[in-house]
Amino acid sequence: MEKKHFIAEVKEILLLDEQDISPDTNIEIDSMASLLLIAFLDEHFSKSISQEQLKDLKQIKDLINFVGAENLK
Amino acid sequence: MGAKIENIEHYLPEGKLDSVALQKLFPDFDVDKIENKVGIKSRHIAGEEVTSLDLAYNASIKVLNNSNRQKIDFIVLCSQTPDYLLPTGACILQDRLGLPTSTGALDFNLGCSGYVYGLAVCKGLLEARIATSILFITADTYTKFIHEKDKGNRSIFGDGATASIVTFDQKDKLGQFKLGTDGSGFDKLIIKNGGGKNTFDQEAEIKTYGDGNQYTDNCIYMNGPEIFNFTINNIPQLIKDTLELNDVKKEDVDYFIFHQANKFMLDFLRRKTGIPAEKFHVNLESTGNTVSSTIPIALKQALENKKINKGDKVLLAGFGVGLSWGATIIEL
Repeated sequence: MEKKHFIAEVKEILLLDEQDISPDTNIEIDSMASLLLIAFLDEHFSKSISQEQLKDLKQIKDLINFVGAENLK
Repeated sequence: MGAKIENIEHYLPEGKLDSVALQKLFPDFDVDKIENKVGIKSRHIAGEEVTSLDLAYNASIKVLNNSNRQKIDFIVLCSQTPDYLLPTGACILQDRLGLPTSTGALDFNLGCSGYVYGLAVCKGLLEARIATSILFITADTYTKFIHEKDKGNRSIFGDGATASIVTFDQKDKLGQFKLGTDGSGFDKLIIKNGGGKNTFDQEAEIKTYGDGNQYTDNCIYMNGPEIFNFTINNIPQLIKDTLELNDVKKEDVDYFIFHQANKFMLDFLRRKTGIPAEKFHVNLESTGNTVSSTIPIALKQALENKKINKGDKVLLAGFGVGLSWGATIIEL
């Protein structure tokens, strides 16, 4: 997946208001966002994420590391 | 030699909790998200004096009024919120419905997979000639066990009951069943207190989860993300296995009814399993998640809306608390 599409999807799922998203942008994942993120990661990266792993996602870079930077063009 | 569903009715209690009422209770809650993503605008709530057995009784009366009640010789009741730990609810129903004492009766405890499992039990009883006509009921009042400040679960679950008449038939209209269990996930959806292991605790600690939802161990706890993970990891394979087991191609199934848990999850599972939207049931707008009753309510809706017609092949799939899952292909 192209990185800009990845960021756009993540912005929508997490309802991020910031214009400029950087790896250091902080993220909060509520219940609905958890479900949306689980579906997104399964559908586009065939990756399963546990609730414990979801809790560890604090910034955009954690999410990029989870999917693997090499999987984002 | 086989079995068929002859008739289905449902009964929903009069009380309702709609989006407006939910918003009043939780001013910060995004009820639009619940309507749009989860797909629920209102849920039926049993009153304080109304129990799951009352709902079961009312659904039974509705279906018996349209059926040959003289032939009923067995009652099977699926509930996780029974009136009593003992005796068996189905025994009380035999008396309340005025069915003869020669009627067999049993309860079983399953949730969202309950309707499919119940059909499997009915098929076994009928094919073994232990019964000839079964009153099969699903009934739950989950809302009685949800903490008043647990907005997540209050927005999802509704109360309700269904009653089906399942009879012996020369043609096998209940197909082969694919059932499964993963008890290691028992604590993903659970009421910890009030059973034999942990007594009901008047002073149970208030805990929080998700977006500030509150609950105690006397109440229902659901780990939504883990339940969702379980479904996306298991249900596509369940559908594939069920088609293979019944030697039916996906294209030859006329309609698919999955447990109506929430709209977002259903849409995702539909895409993942490659089922066209017009063949896939999504309707929980006015009922919410009624646990073991969602599939028979959906069957009734689909029959009324002519989404399914006589002779159609319908794939049913239930999954959830246990963790437990089951699917089959029926012909109506």
